[in-house]
Amino acid sequence: MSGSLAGDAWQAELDRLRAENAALNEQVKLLVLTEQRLYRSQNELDAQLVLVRALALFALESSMLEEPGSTLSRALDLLGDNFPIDWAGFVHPSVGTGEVVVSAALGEAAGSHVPRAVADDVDTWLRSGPAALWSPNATESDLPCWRLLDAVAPGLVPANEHARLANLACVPLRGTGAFAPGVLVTVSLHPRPAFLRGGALAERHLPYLSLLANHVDHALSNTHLTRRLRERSAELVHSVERLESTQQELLQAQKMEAIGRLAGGVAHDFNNLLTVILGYAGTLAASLSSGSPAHENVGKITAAAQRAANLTRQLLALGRRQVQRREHFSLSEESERTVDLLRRLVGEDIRIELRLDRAL
Amino acid sequence: MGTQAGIGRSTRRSTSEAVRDVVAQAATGLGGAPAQFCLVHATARHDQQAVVDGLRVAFPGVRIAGCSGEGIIAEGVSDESEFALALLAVRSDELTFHTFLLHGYDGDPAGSGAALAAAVNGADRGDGIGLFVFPDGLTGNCETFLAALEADLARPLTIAGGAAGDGLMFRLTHQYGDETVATGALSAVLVTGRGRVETAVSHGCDAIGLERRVTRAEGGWVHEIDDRTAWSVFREYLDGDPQDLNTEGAIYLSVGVPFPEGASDGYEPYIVRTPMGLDPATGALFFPGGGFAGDGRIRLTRRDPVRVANGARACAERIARACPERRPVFVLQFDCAGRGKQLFGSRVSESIVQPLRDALDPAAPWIGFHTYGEIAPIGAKAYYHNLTTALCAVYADP
Repeated sequence: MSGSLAGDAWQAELDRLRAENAALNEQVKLLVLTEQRLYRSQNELDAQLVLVRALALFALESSMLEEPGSTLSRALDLLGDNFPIDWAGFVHPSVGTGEVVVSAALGEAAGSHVPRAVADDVDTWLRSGPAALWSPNATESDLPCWRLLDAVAPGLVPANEHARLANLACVPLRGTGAFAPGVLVTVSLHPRPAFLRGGALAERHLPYLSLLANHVDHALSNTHLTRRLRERSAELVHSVERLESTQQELLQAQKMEAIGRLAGGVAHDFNNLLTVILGYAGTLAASLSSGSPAHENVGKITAAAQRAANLTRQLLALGRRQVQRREHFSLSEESERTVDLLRRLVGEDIRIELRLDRAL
Repeated sequence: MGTQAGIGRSTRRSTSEAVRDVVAQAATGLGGAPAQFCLVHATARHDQQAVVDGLRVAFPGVRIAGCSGEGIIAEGVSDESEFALALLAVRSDELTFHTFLLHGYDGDPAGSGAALAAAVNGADRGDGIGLFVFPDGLTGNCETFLAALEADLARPLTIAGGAAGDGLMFRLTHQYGDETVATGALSAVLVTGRGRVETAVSHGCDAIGLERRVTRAEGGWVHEIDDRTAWSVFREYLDGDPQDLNTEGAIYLSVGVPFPEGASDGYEPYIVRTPMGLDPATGALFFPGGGFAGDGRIRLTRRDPVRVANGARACAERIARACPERRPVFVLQFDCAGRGKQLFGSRVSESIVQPLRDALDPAAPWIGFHTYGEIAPIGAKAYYHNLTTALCAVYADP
């Protein structure tokens, strides 16, 4: 009897322990499921942080890039490294041609794209400044974005059942300066493991792509403005130099005018004195017998006074006080007279030689 | 001249440009000498043939081994981006590198083991110091391969390596052998000469729930656990009521297989096995490591990031303690694809790569990849592992 009771007690204890174990096991399951959700959230948050960090770094770096090509290339690198994409390109309509051009594309050499013709509705759509969009399936859609992709990257999306795996996202570019408005087109051709790489290109990527497009617009706008600012600065420097040079010339001209005016004033008064000297010298010469030593001396006084009068005329001409008139003259004689004046001015250490053609 | 090794790493999308990058970087470590051996790992989106072709052009006649990976490890960096390439280039007076490529591993892993053993026996003149193997990570039973290999080797060798991956797409992996790229195959390199190889391995998983028993298994396929379909047991522990074995589930939840009595040699009580495939029709799970013979006792396990990071660093410390006065000529790190980005997010390098370098040798040339399975010895026997770091330091005796 007691053995049976003991056996029952053991069985009861065993059942209780089994029930406890089963309950604990259920709790473990719940904990494990909760932990998986936590990991998933952490990973999603981490992936978002990585994207935000990459975009912030791009915004900082691209503000210092001086070539539009470098900005586009850096943006494409960011896309390739951080988004599940197989193709990306900056696409713009050509002015008035019904064609589109790719300014840069992932993994393709810069400048390797030729303009491509697109249908009118695709051209209209592109020029209308389309809103950001995401299209999950190449086979089920005749959207302009897919036909635009066919035009700029022919054969990229396979024309078979794999087309349904292709996803496309399109975000607008405002354009600035030489960088025309258009769209940033990104495509994933096949899905990636969702847990590791965020799956294929998805609608949730649109805000980040739009942010990148905005950064590109800003960076290119900055580049354009910086370039124009530099050009204007260079022009301003040149203009200031010219102004300074003109001011110097004006100053010199004013100086010369002042000197001329002074010299003219002195020459005028001196000329009046010479007129008196020449007058009295003429009267005196007339009263003396020709050939006498006194008459000869008066002749020398008259000659010296006439030379002085010539000098004053030149000074008056410099000061523009003498009336200008046109007359025939001997260039050789005028040159000799001018040189006579110069010799007095330049000093003894400068020799002036004249070689004249007497016919002139 | 001793032994020189250089490392290169590139994330360029163009394979030819990436090869040019890694060759230029690795060449600086060789001091102008040509490479005799290249170990290379590329992510699956690269043009695999262009990788080996580019290396053969850069280093004419060079021996090449390696495989595609889920991500690459080079110096202090783990990189699981879609386009990543890592290169170790070596020239040595003390060490010789014999490369092998065995086709048909996927269909006959035991035959591949025997064939590799025969090839190694032919090259090993009693001076073999280590054998590194890189099998396809999607097919073949690696435990079967290792058992056949060790059974036929003329003398014991340190065996380590990693199973090739393909960016968690689980479609096709690649293995390299000199100028050839293969799939479903096995790449290997035997290192002979004056030197030694030190290895350490660590997982970082905790057992969860009650002990269970594999009640029906065949090769790497586990059909039933506790007389229920294996998938139904797994699903109970996976969030979101998954209809298929997705990457997230495969990486989070695994199976711990207990060591035979006395064989753990101070290692953890379990070897971890991760399922790589599901037969939806039967609910059977495929484990490339196999190894469910015996009494079939198992525990479900979950990875723990703190244990993972601490265990990995302990591996480096263990090797450093084993060779305190010596510096490795290069270090190989084979780390599970499930321990990278999806466990540590953007902090993989800081968590399980750079701390290992700091602990072992911050200046040592360091290469590796994120695998679909790691191979490393416990005691004297080589095992296939999942969710581990397998760390190997190669030393040369001058």
